[in-house]
Amino acid sequence: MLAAAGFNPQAAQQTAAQRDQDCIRKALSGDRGAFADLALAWQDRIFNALRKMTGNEQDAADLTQETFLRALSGLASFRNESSAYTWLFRIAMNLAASRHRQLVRRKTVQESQLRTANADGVERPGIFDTQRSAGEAPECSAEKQERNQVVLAALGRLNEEQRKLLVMRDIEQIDYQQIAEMLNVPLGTLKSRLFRARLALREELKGYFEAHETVTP
Amino acid sequence: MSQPPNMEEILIDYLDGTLDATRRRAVETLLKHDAKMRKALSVMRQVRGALGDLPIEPMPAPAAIALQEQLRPPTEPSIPLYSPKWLIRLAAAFAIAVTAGLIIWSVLPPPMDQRTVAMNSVSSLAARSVAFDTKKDSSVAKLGDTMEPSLATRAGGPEQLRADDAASENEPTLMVVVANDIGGTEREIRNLLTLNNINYESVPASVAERVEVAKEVQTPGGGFASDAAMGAAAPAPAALQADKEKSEEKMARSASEAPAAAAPSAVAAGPAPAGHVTPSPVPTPLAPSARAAGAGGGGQGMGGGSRRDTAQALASAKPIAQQFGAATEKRSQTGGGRTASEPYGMVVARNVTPDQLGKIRSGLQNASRAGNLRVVDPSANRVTQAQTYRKQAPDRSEQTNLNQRQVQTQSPWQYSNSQAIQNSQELAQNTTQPPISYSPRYDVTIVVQGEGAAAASIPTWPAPATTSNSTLPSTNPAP
Repeated sequence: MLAAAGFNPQAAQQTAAQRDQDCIRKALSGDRGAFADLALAWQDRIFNALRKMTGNEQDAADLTQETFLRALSGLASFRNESSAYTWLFRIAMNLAASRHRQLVRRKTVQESQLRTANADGVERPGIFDTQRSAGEAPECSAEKQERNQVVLAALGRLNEEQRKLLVMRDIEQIDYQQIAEMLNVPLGTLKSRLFRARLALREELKGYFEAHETVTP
Repeated sequence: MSQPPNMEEILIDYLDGTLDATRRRAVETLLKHDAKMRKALSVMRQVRGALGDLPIEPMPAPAAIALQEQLRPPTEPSIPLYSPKWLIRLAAAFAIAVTAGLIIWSVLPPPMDQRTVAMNSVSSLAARSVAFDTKKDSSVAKLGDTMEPSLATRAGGPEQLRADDAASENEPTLMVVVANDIGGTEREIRNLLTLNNINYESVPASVAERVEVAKEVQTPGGGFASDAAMGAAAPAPAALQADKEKSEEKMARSASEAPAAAAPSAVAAGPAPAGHVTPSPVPTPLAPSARAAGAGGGGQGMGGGSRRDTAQALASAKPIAQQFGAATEKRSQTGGGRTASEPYGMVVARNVTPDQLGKIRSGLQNASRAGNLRVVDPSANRVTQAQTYRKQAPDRSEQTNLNQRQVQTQSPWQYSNSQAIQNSQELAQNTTQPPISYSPRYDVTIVVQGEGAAAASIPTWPAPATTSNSTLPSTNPAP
């Protein structure tokens, strides 16, 4: 439909790449406003990826801010071998992984606090809430919203490597080559890991899918 | 050698649609016969669809704004130089500066030219003349202060004189060098000052004073008595020395109390020989003129009509004079008169007008023609030059007309200042009862020196500009 409307994804991608290069060049020459423009172009996608990775909006916002500040301080180290988004995404994923490790360590001590109900009494799903199973989906009004929460919860129960692969490929639609470069793994290995990550997520969602949908052959 | 793709990779590529046609057909044939593979493919699609259906959540606005605020530079966005805002700001700054300048220009007084400065000096001079009195310290006005105002505007005139001659011109010093004084030179100088109605201070040297006292005692009526006529008990040498030390102590105390008056006398006296006392500007208690001055002790005497008073006052010093009779007798035995190296004394005439100064000079020169003395007057040329300037200056009415013309030629905003100056002049004229005197006044120091003492001190003086005053014949015999 977009193609019928005259939308050319490749042209748009080239335009975005050119814009990113200009912004980075200006930022390197001291124009902080140019870097802010770059952040304005990519902050929603970075936030979205971090939101899926962390399962928490506040954490995602904090990590997004941290991502761009790290990028600004390390701007001189940026090389044009990859796109600006790939560079930013790698920083974001590293921060998310670091944050996840901190939370896992904290979880062993304060596991109960992670499942504490909010002040309004509505218990919201946490991506690290391992006690929630797919079959225990909350009674939500909207079936789609319920499914999204279930999927996010299942995603949070995966290990970091599987979750990162699924976010990069199935959510952020990053091509395999870039993902392989970011994770520094061969392309075949990447695809095999992606296959297993999907199976793992499907295993997490098995109860939900069996209850609500029929697997189409 | 690359490994052949396994089933997971093939299914991934088949699901993504990146397999070529041959492999795609092969995968489709395999899927028809393998249920497990079909289920796996179904799971892949289901999971991918579930993840792909997750909404894209934009960054919340507060967090996005905070991020942009952190990343944007803190300064306000730059305005191009060609922006009209710059022009507006520049024009506003220029207008403010011009307005402020106009305000300051209209408030501050105008810059004064040389004539205006002269008019201001007239005002200050008039105000100063109100306080003009006959007190000792204020009666001796400086030459520059008492000069006519037009002189102040004369380039290189009195200013130059004031700079060059401050030391010699305001206090001219005349040195009367006596080859063999018999004791009457200083008295004649006093008489000369008295006849011309000039205030003076007599500052005799200690030895000379004692001789004078002895003469006064011997001849109370005054007159020119010789040393030989004086006779009395001879004082012991030790008593004479003690009296000398006492006199030195008094003179040192007097010098510290009146350093300004002591300076010219010290210069005039020059380096006193050993054993002699430097003349003091303040008379010793035995000074006849000081006695005649009466109460106050200021040392200022009036020459006219004071001879009898002086004799009466000196009568009280008779015992002391009798002690020094031997010294005078000794002088008479050695030929009379003082020794050549003695500083005989000094007379300081106060508040002397130029005319009176001329009379002093002429009187001393007449005496020099008759006797064995000569007059050294190093300031004669300077004073004459100042008098010449004064004669060339316009009179008071001319200066007033000049001021009025200046006021009329000034612009309106300058007129206010000039008008104020004129008003102050008129006010000063109305409030000054004694007429403003532009005549200079001098302190004339007349030093009477022995030839030997003068020979040592004269070279240190400025060389006299004119040699006409030096009337001592070169063949004058030295004692």
